[in-house]
Amino acid sequence: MHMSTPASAEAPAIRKNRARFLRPGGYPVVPIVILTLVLIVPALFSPWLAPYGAEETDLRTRLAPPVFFGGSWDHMLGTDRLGRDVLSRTMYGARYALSISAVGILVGVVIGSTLGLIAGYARGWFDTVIMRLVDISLALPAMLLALALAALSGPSFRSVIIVVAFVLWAYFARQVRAEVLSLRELDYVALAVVAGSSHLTILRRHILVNVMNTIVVLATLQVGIVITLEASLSFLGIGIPRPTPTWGLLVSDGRQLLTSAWWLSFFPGLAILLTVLSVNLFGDWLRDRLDPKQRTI
Amino acid sequence: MMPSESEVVLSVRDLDTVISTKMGSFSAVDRVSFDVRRGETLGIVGESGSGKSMTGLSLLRLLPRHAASIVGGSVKLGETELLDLNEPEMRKIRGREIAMILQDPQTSLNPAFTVGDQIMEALRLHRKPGKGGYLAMAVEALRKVRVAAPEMRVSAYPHQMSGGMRQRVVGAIAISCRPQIIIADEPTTSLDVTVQAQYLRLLRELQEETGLSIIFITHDFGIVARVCHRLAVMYAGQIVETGPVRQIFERPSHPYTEALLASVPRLHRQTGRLPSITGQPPALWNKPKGCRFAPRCPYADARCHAEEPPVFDLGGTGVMQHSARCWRLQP
Amino acid sequence: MQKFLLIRTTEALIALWAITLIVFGLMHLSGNPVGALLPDDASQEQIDFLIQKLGLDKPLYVQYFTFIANALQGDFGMSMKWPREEAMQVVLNRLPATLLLGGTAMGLSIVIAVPLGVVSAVRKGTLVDSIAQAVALVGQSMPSFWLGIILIWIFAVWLNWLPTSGGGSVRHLVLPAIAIAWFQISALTRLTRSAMLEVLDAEYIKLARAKGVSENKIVWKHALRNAAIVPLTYFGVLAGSVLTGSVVIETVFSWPGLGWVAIEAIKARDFPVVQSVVIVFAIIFILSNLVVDLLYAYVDPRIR
Repeated sequence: MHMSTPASAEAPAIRKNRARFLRPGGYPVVPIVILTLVLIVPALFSPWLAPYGAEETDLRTRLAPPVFFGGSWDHMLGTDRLGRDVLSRTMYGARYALSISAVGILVGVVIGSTLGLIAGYARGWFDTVIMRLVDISLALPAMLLALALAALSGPSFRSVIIVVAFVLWAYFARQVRAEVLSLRELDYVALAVVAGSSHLTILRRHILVNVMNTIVVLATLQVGIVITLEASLSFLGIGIPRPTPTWGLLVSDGRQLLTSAWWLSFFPGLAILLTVLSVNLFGDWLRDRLDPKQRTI
Repeated sequence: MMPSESEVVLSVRDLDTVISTKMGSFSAVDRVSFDVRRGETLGIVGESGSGKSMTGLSLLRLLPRHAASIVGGSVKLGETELLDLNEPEMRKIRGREIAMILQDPQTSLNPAFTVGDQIMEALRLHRKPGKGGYLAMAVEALRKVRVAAPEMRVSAYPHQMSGGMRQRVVGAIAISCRPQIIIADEPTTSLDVTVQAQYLRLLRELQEETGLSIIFITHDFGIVARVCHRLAVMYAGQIVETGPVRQIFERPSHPYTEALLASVPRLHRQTGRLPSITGQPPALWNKPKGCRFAPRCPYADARCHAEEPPVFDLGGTGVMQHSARCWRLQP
Repeated sequence: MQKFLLIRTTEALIALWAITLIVFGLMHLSGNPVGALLPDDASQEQIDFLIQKLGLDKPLYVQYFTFIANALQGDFGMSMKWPREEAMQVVLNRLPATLLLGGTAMGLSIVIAVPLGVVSAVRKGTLVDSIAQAVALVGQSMPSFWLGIILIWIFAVWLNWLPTSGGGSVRHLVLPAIAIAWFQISALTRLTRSAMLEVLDAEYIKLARAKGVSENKIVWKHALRNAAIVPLTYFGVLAGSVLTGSVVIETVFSWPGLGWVAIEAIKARDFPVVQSVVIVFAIIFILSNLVVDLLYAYVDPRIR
């Protein structure tokens, strides 16, 4: 009788989860901190916190580099062609990033979710029509619409909101509808119908409450996309028009002076990156907490 | 229908398999020992969580790499110690000497490839092409498992077949390379009752034709009676009783076996309520100190709770060998 | 299979038709359509003349039919920014450049992302996996125009290995293609990885191992074949994403393709050209979706 311990004699070690450091105690501390510092605080408090005004020019200090690259602490992230402080302009830029995403998402989510809710609950021809619209809408890239709008009415705050809402509504309509479809089959909904509750009450009390979770998670995950979209549009000149100092515009202006003043494009773009990254991480955490069946990873 | 004294094809001694969880490592298969003879069907019976599937996977060393591993014991196929083989050598054993049938025909077959492709893949790995090539061999394998119109079926996709037929295909893959042993892990659990009966008959016929040995893993005592020659009853990772099927049914020696048999409904007996065993099997991380069944055992005494009983030989040799792990059997 | 093709083609045509409606509709919804075509101080006479010449005083449906009739012949009017050139011709001249850029980016994405995703899944939990995932996460969060600018700065300005802008050679193609592909690679890698992880857990994989199939074959033949449908689905989104990306990246790098034309035309309020670009973009997009659906049916026999 051969007694032997085969090659893998020890019990396999338990793999440590490497992402643990990002979430001490289970909360996404790092993303929230970054998000607060880069987006929320500047967006809300820049008039008081920014060292200079967004349009404050000072031709004596034009094109000053950032502090560790030959500049001074007066202008930590450098200045542009007109002597405007990059840090301050970036901070003010946060306001537009936050407001556009907030408004755009709100509009898109409300329209999409409402339509999805009704489509999923009422079914019938309304459902079919909405879903066809959703398919067509999802089949069209946002850029096409943005180009068309910009050509017609010129870039504006309103056209950006329209593009954002267009991008979001169909996605939300579809997701919400799917959720509603499965919810309405549940027994307690049937009971409510039998008990004589009006459709509106059922929608509100039973279905909406459960769908809310999904909506919140999805909306958070969309923030990154919306901010990037707005920035891209502004960069191209078909988003929020000059002279509003959105991050996209700042990067675009910096493009001309790339060889001599790299900091003009770098820092606003970095702000976008950090914001989107933290929002994505936060959204992932939120999804794991509230709605794990959305997990794809 | 007991096969006459025949050679032992697989000999397992003190097999130990450990599972890693977030809470630590625990024994899932605990010093399991049994023999399988040529032409014999050995049933491994137990509740879910008893370690029976793990045992089956351990024999072929198919445990999920980071979650479980074999930490001790011996598995001998003939003269070859399987636990000493490296991976390429082990791959030659899999499918060729020992084949496997899994529970759910729905998920056992790759949906992206035809049934024929999947049989031929096994053939290409282990056998030389005969006349007509691999395709003819695949058709022949389908014919052996009684699939009608095998020449047409061979180019069908799994989703185009019924559950029973899919399970036959899985059987075809298993026998195509003429293994010595087939490990069947709950092969009929997902099938309809009538289909089940046909499948069991098929397995029996294949065994009679080829002298195949089968390790039949199941939780269903009713099936065991029809298909197995010998039986190994597992509880909480250990084998608690081993012996010839008829003898165990007539004279169960371990209280767990006794309770299991009592809970199987039988047509000719009028029972008021179906007796069931009170309590639950112990959790993986919380095994009792003494006999693992003691907390639920109607006969347990102080020694049962304190000390783990060894295996006691109840007589018989070879195929009639009978043993059980219970203090009551101490002479 | 034939039926499937027929249905999908019909749907594609309907989508295209919807776009023509949108393009047409937007132009007329925005109020005075000639406002975009004339300088601000044009006299009323000039406005009236133009309206009559363009047939804008006829009823809407007549205008729409004229529009469609012209469109089918490829006539979208004359460009204003590029004098003496037909709008559609302006666009078609730049089409190959965008196809080249987009095609390269998509090719790069698939060639890098799919193997990376597979390896990442197989080596789940190891350093390779963690690094790949981290890079993918950052890559998906990065605005592509910023990446483009950074790439220019590093490789063209600082290291001086590649040109800063323009088109015309393979050296010009490298940076823009990478800039577009980066985001796609990140997204596609994550998708492939999770699809593979799910497939590798399947029973048929276990059975294949029990047959004695080598681990390599298990991963690259058995598992990938089933997991591939996920990145394939993304392919459709990929095309749209690349299209959008190309508008931005072509602007960053001054790559003379469709995107670049679109932005220039918008700035110059050259409406016929914008119309033409939108239509061409839409056709490309719809076609690629159709191709994806066909590939879908090929990979998953259950659909056929």
